[in-house]
Amino acid sequence: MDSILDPDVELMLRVQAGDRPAFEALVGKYQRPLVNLIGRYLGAYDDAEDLAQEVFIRVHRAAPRYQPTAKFSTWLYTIARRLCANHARGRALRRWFTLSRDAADAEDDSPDEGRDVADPADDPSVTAEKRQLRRVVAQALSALPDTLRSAVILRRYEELSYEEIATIVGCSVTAAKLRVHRAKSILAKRLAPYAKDAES
Amino acid sequence: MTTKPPDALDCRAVQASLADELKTPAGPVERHVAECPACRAFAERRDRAWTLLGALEDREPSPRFAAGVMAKLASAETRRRPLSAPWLRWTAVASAFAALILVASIILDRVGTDDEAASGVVAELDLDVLESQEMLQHLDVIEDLDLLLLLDEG
Ligand SMILES: [Zn+2]
Repeated sequence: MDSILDPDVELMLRVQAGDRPAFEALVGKYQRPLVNLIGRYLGAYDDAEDLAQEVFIRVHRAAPRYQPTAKFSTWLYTIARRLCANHARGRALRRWFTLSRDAADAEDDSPDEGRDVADPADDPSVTAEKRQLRRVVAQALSALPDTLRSAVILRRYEELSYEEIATIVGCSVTAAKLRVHRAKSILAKRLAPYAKDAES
Repeated sequence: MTTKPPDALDCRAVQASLADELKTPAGPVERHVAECPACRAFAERRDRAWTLLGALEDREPSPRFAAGVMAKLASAETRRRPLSAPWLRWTAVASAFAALILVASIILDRVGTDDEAASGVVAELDLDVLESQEMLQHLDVIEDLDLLLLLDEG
């Protein structure tokens, strides 16, 4: 692809040449979307910042081998997605060891579902009702199977094209559409009791 | 409540193609929805859920985020510097090997003591298995794959 079309590819090529300020510019630009993407995927923000920082470390490490074949954001989100999947796998493994040692210990390593994404403590202006809604939405997303979850998050919050989603999650464009469609069907069912709030 | 569709189109096909991600140009589907309460309710339920997802608003990363990346980068670069003395390299290999044996023995020990349950859990660690189990729970809402593929091509 033509790197002139994507200024971030230009920045990344400068990173490849050892340009530190170019790397800092990419971090500055993508920290927010990345932290939110990962936070929504994990259903928790406590690990999201750590993981997002790790994504940037991977970007920097991969710089010598970087080839501008897609938009920079597509490449970045692909790295993030893989890291998230590894993280979830690691958590499953830790959970297994914890469970097999002592079921009661599992509490401190709880799965995604129980986590509160939008931590109410940091925003006193938000009403209890809104906090509850955030929690419900976060839980509904967390309960989706991994493949559906990443596709729907990339579509709904990042507003990516199905072509981009397909590249990031590693499937065909048709499969990406189907995943979003399925996720939407499941969410429609799960969120039906709260749908009144969405009417305006 | 069952409402008889006003035309010959199958509700299921209509609902599948209603999804904006699978939408075909305006035509029989839109006409059907305009007259079919069931399909209209289906479409509205999906749209409302989509709107509800907006409740999970963007959050600001901590102000220390970028500095944290640069600090991690610095420490990663230090870590990745190769070990200078050859005996240090051998020590590293030896400790990695020892750790591997330890982990293997723990796993074997667990499988051996509680084989039924443990192997069940091991199988669950396969994320594909986890996913297909979860998919099974949602079968009632997951539309027929072939039907959707067909609509998508249309
Ligand atoms: Zn109908």
